[in-house]
Amino acid sequence: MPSLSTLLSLFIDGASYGMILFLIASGLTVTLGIMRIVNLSHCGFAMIGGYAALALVSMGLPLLAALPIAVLFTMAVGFLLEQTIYRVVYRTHEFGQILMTLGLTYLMVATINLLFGSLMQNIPVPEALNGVWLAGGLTISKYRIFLVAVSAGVAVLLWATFEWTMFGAKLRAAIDNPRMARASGIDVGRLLSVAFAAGCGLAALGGVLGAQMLPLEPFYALKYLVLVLMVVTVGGLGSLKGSLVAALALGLIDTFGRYFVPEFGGFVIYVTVFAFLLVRPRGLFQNA
Amino acid sequence: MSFALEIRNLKKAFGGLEVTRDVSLTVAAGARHALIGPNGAGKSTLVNLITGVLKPSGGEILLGGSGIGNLSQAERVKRGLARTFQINSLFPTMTVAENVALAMVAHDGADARVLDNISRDPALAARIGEHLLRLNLADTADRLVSNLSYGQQRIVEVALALALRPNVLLLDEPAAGLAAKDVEMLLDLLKGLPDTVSVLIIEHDMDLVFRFAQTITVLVDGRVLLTGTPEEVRKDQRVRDVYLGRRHG
Amino acid sequence: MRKPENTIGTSVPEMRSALRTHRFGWFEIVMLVVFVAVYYLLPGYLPLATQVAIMIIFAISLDLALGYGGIETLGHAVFYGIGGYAAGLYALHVWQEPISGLLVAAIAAGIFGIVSGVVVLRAKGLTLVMLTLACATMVHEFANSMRAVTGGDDGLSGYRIDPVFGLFRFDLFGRTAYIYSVCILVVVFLIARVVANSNFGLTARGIRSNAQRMQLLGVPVLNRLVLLYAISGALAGIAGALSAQVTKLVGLNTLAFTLSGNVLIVLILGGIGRLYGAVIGSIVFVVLSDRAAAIDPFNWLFILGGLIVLTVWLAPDGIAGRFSALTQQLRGRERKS
Ligand SMILES: Nc1ncnc2c1ncn2[C@@H]1O[C@H](COP(=O)(O)OP(=O)(O)OP(=O)(O)O)[C@@H](O)[C@H]1O
Ligand SMILES: [Mg+2]
Repeated sequence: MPSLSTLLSLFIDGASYGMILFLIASGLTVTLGIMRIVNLSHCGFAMIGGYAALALVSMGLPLLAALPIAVLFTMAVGFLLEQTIYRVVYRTHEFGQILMTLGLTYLMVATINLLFGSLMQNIPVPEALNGVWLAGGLTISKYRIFLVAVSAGVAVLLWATFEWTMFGAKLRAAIDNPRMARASGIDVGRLLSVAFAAGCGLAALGGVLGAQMLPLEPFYALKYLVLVLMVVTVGGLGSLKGSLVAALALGLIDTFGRYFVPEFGGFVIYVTVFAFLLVRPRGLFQNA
Repeated sequence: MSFALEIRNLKKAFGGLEVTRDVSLTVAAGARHALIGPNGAGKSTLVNLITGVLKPSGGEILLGGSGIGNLSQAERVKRGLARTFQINSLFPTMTVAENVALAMVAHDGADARVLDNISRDPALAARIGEHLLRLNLADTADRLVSNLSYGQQRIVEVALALALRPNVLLLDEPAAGLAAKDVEMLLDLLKGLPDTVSVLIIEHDMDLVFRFAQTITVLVDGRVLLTGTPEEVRKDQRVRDVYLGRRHG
Repeated sequence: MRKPENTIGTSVPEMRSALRTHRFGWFEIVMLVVFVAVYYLLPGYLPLATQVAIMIIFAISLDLALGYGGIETLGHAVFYGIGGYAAGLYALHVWQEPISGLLVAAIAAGIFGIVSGVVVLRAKGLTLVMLTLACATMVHEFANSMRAVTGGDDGLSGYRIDPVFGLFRFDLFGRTAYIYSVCILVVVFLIARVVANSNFGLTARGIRSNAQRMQLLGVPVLNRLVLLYAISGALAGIAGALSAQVTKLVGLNTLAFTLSGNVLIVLILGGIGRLYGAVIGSIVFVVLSDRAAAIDPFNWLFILGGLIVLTVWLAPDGIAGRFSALTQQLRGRERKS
């Protein structure tokens, strides 16, 4: 049996990993909930954010200054794409959407490859967050704590937006029943555009902050896609709460699984997901 | 005399709302039987009970003398009970001939045969051809159902049900939404059905009902008001009250 | 059996075209000529042409599941990979004879099709897509973790394959591999054609068109879908096994999401539900990605990505769909004149 401190640091690792997954997945679950669009490009936006921050940092900007710029930049890219290519995507049938967004992902991969090369890259962590805290035999990475704190803050902010603002109320209505929402005068199209851009921003945030765990590379957009899709599906389409729970659970199960049965590696997590989906095909928190 | 379809004391309630109250009804072999009644009388519910879409709260349903109350919808179809649906329950991406072929192959229990080539089966082709000719659909054989007019799709709906060679055919408002000339076409088709098929038709178009049916059952508020010949029904004061009363009140 | 009675006088061939079964025509002849011509005229490209043949088999298998039965899957590579590993392990531990290797692979993949199909195919739409994806990823990770058996990241290699029929050795130039693959392709195409043209093929199309109504015609839909999935899986397994035998290597990429995505792209490119769409799509895809990668190894994904987006956008029925629309127009014009 491993020591308590090992368990605790595993827990922190798993939780921070899960929170990054949540940040990336949150935008996807909302757009999926409203439009039932399977956006396979979504992970690409996390990648774009990560690389934007990388470029800014290597130009000499501190990470904390680069972060908001990268997020805004990604939102702008997302918004532009949503206004153009995604208009076509929306119009095709479900499976066509899957393929088109897969093609779009390839284009993103190629673009990043062209601009940044194919090597794996890390965004250097700022001095202040480097290193560990030692507390009674416990070593805790400062950066991980920072990660958990920031993403927990974002999650709370998201939740508040969802529950307490007019925008959130409209979003909930649109996820619950898009047609009804439209009939009661909500501009679902515009709502979706805003949610889409915001989702891209959140993904970018996850991409930048998580670059330590999910290192940047052109195939990032495909490599972590399956995991993010699983978070959304297990959480239940359109449910932020579900995505949060699912992301944390997946992050923890994966981290603990890899520690306790290293020979099975990533197998544990997918068996769990598969078994879960069989029992609850609509995920944790199903709507409609 | 044997009945093609017999319903004994059928009951159905949605929560506290009794929609089918102790309905008994017999459809004789080869009958042309119509079920009429004002909106909300429980006609569609009755069809859904007979076909197994809904489970009754009580009572019995017999097809050709044997109980079918516990069978699934598909099993009832296999026993010779076919129905027409709302328009969207055809195979829209397939041709008219394919639609009919699907029903025939399914009826024959040959739908899982991996080695039989459907286009090399002259018996099947002949059956489809005859079927379509009989229903005046031969010209549309190679057209996609989704490209047909609404009226033609309605006819294909009947063709699909008939391809199952049913003993009892349930038609739920087959003429709804049809243009006058399509109604005539439908009526011709129905009149041309062989005696081996017993028909129970639900229809709001009284003209069609009185020209087609030999027996009419009037359903009001989930109860059978009366069953009789078209003449008897036409003359009955209670029926007039129900229809006229509704219209004026 | 009832005699065909033509009492009313519809002619049988008329029904044939209305039932839209696959018929041999100039397309098959052209393809055969092309395959023979490649052998004599482009000997340097035989390995590439072999890849094309294997991809065609894989895409045909997907067409049966997706184009006929409407089984929307993002995890079809699972069958390809299982077939590949089955053939590789069989050659490594049991027997190096190739044909029996293909059969073993087909059976292994087919059985996996039944087992996974029974659980996965209950779902529909998005859930089905996700379940197939999760299932394939699960097997991928499993193969990754079973290093001792599969070789993990390094892949499975170090096995020999005996001469075909004990006569034709696999040579360095890939001649035997090419002829062998093309022959298997012909066999698979014929099998797929039999399935597609059968009562069962019609049933599958009916399920794709309106599964609920199929159920009400008395057809056990799940049961039929599982059968279709197993057949499709077995054929995909043959493709994977061929690749394993020809390249003498089975890597984890044979189970990867990218391969599942690529075969979908191939089919969409060519056109689904018509068998020969798989042929056209594979040729375009494999040749194009090879050429693009040769000319510019870093940027070929641009071409691929652009191609996918444009195809779904402008030709959702694929190249074959465009084509048959065109021939139909021409035929219509003939009829009028
Ligand atoms: N699933 C249900 N749950 C609750 N009430 C129902 C349900 N289905 C039908 N009803 C009610 O049962 C009554 C009978 O409905 P039904 O559709 O059988 O009438 P109908 O005779 O077919 O009417 P119409 O001529 O308008 O088609 C109606 O009052 C209806 O509101
Ligand atoms: Mg009704």
